[in-house]
Amino acid sequence: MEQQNQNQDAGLFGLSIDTTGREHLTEAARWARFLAIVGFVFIALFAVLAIAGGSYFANMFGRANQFNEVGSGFTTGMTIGIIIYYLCVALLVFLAYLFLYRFAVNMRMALQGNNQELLNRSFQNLKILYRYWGILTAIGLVFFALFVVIAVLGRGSM
Amino acid sequence: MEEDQSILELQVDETASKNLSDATRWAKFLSITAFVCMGLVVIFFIALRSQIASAFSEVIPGFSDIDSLGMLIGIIVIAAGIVCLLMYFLFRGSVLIKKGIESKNQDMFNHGLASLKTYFIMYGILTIIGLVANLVSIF
Repeated sequence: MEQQNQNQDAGLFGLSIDTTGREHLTEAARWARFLAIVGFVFIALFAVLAIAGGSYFANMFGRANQFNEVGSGFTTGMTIGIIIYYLCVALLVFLAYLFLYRFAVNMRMALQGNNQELLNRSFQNLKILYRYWGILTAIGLVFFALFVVIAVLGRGSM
Repeated sequence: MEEDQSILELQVDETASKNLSDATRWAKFLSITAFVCMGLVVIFFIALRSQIASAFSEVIPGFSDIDSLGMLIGIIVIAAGIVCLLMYFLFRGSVLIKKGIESKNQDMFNHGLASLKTYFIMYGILTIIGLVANLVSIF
């Protein structure tokens, strides 16, 4: 009973989404939704271009290899490799925009329906979005550092 | 009456606080990384300006003159400045939201949300500018 009273006190005197916060979050969610939709369209275009570009590379490699022993196996492998690489990049970016979209949509519904659960889900997606970008950035930084180290060592041994 | 309204308002409860704190931690990391990267890009371009000018002059004839190089460095500095401004709003938002949650300060929390909103608006406007620029270059 005492604990229940304490929780209620925390709810009454803790942070809330007041009118000002509500306005800011509504606007943020509107722009986030716009950004996510634009992102989805661009990823779809990117995926189409990746597949189309793959067939272009297949033709290019095919013409280059028509007189040598490497043959069509290499060409097909190279083409599939390029397509898979670009589709993986598209998938990685798509996931980020999916979290952004979920943040925006859940926030909008939470604010419209005064739904605490949706608000929490929205903030959870915002957390996942930034964590996801953070981890990708950290991985990118590690690769960049490795590249710099290898470049310096390579230059030193020359 | 006001108390009734506060009960009906959405609360930043324990789950929301935890999620927001985690989000702000990563957002802060991302913004600081962006500041450092933009600084490094600008330093890199200024330090290696002569090499970059000679590399560009092979592709674009007459690039090596001082005006073209100055313009390139100017564009890089402006682009870095825009990214830094965008990331400043993300940084400010994450710091204020975190402090607001820790000190249970509603005003500070709202200022953090305002910065987050500005970040999304600026990101959206830059996206629109990018889209328009791409469309103009196509037609």
